[in-house]
Amino acid sequence: MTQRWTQPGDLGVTRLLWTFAVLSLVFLGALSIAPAKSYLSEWREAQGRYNALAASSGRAGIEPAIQQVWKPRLGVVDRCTSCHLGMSAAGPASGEALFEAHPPVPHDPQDFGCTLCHGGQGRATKRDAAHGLAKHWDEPLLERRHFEAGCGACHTHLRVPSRRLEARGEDLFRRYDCVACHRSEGVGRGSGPDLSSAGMRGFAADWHAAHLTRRELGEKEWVASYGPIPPEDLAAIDEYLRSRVGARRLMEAKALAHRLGCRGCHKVNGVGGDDGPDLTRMGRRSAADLEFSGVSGERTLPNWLLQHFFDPGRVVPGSQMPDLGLSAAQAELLTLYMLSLRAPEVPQAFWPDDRVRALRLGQRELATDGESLFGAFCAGCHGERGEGRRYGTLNVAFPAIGNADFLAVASDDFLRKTIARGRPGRRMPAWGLKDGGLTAREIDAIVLYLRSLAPGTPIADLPAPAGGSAEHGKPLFERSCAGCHGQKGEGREAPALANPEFQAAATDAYIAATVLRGRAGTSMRHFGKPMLGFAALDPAEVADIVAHVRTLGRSGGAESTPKE
Amino acid sequence: MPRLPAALTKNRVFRSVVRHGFPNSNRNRSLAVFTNFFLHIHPVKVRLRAIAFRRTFYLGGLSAAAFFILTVTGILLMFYYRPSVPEAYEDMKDLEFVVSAGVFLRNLHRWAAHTMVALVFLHMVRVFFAGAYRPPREFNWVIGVVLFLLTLLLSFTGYLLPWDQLAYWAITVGTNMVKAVPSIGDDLRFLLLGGNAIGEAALLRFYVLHCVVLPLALIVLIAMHIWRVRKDGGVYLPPEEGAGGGEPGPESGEEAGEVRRE
Repeated sequence: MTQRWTQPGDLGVTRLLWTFAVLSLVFLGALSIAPAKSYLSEWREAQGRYNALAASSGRAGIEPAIQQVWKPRLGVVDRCTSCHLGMSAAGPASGEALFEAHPPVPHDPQDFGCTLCHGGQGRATKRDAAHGLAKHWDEPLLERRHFEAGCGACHTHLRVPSRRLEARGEDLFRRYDCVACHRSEGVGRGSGPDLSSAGMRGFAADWHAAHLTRRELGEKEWVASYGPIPPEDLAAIDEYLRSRVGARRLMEAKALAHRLGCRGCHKVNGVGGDDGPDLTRMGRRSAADLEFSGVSGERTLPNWLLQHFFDPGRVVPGSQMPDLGLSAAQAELLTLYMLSLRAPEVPQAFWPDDRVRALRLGQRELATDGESLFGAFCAGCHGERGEGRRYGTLNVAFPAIGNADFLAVASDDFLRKTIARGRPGRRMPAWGLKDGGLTAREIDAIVLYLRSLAPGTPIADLPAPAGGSAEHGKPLFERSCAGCHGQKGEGREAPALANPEFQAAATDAYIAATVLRGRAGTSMRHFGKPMLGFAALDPAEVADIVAHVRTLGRSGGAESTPKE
Repeated sequence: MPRLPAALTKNRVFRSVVRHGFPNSNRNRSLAVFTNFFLHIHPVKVRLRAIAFRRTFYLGGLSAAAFFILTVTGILLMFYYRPSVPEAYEDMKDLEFVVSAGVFLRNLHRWAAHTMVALVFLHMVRVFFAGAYRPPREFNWVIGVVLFLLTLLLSFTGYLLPWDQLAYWAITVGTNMVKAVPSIGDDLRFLLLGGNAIGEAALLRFYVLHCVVLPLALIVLIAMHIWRVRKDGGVYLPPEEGAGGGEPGPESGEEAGEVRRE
């Protein structure tokens, strides 16, 4: 066999060479896509438009480059100013919204960057990625209507003022014509300091004395326009100024949440009830972790929150949270407040005053008068003025603790004990220092507020029933009381009389008086007078019932009553 | 011969590197192969049937090409990457947003890695169905299996480096699987992670494995693998229809007259 060597022609070299040439060109073309995409970037285009606008107004443009705010201690690398050039060192250019200056805020945006407050992805240089709309980015940019929620990234404990005092303070601020020299939230004139964020910046405690001194020095406009203010008015004005933090809507939202009693069931920053989920990090929840099957519209956290407020049970099946009957505006406000709960991780050196006061000095983030405390912790169940509530979703009527008949027979001691220890096993949590976290002074303030809801003082010496027989009381109880309070006093829609804390707090006299007087305006009728075919109970019968009620507390009910 | 090429080639420097003339004769063409470092991996004699596309689909060569791309892009990526917490993730973000063609670099590395796993797997399948694992090539098959495992390990160790949620949980799952190894599972996991949890130590270990240990092992074994292909007489060829001779034997038993060698 003769060996034949392979010749170039056998391999079709010419064809191979052509293929190689064409493929090389295709490869080169493909390779050039990357630098082309790099060059034709969104930020370059934006800077081109910026330079064109600058040139048309006769200003110098900028060298095309990525701009950034770099704050290593805060972990902030924000390249937002690469496109939002109005907020960069280059300064605003009119003609396009993108290049406008930042609206005036209490902070210089250059101090903290952008994403700390607004969310989004600071390192990104593409629009969607930077606005946090990219897949798997948990923190999208806060929408414009929710931008104040960003304050919660540091200001976790903005103080909720006493509503009454703040309203009076605002009124006095105008009446004393402070607005003649100062501005506050867009109102006012003159050259005095703007007080829109006085509460955040802080103000001299002796401002009034200092003002008076200027007047005494005889400065002309001061003599004419300033005068002494009584201390109680000063307190109100101080309360008003303290709550001016430059985020009016957020403060309104937070105040609303603390008037509706959200924290009666929800903990925020470690304070509040245990019935609902802890809300401390609610504003940072990722939409990816939420269930949207009951939510219509876009799959975002704000939309989820908003719809949840209108109908909690539809959004979270099995939710215990009642439909609060909120208006659209209220639901919007509560959504804003929820978004502001961002559980920040900023280093301590950057903690604002309010956070330090709350976490280091143990001060409350709300005014500690009785009305404010009641609004924050009690109103959710008992109603804003203690009128009691009945929610469709819960088969319980919450007691009307602002009821005049109740307050007439309930002693301060009974109220204090009830608040501090709650009703274990029932919806009412214990609010004492070890449980809900209220101090004795704060509980006293709530009791004082309750007293203010109904005129008159509690009847000091209620007659104690004597000589009752539990045996006689049992059929009476079953006829008259068990329908609402339950056969064994386990509480159905009316309070649980067998509850050990109730038994401990309530005196015989209190129970007897309640049976005889009833509670006008509630389902608890008065049994001391005949009514609609029911004969009145006489005092001896009431004593029997009280004796029977006492047996309910012992090992769980009437069954264990000794039979002799 | 035109004058310019002559001027370029007829000097001492050129001749010291390229020791033969233009491949315009059988002798020079042979020399071009024999004296070239990259081409000498071919056996001395290559049959047309062996280099036909449908014989091997060039899967081995393409796997090597994918590895070459991975090496080049990997080195470039190393310029921008710090294997520490939280810099690793931040560097990834910077690659994505501020490094010129950084996204392209990462994607090239990623797709080349996926492609390499697929190619190596297909290469194995091809060799298996061709029966090319049989003597005298059984040791090369063993090397090939180790190369396949190294490829998978490279993919696995590279997965942690972005230091994002996907990476973290993938390695959580992966190292928990290691724990299932009888009796030494826990120790093995500890060794891999440099601790009991995935943290900075694990990231550094995976980085060193991914960028130094595994690629070096891979390069050494690839060299052995290719060398053995040559020693075992090139690509396996089934006996030709009608022709008496099958594939050429190993070099030690060359058939007379079939091999030209300088």
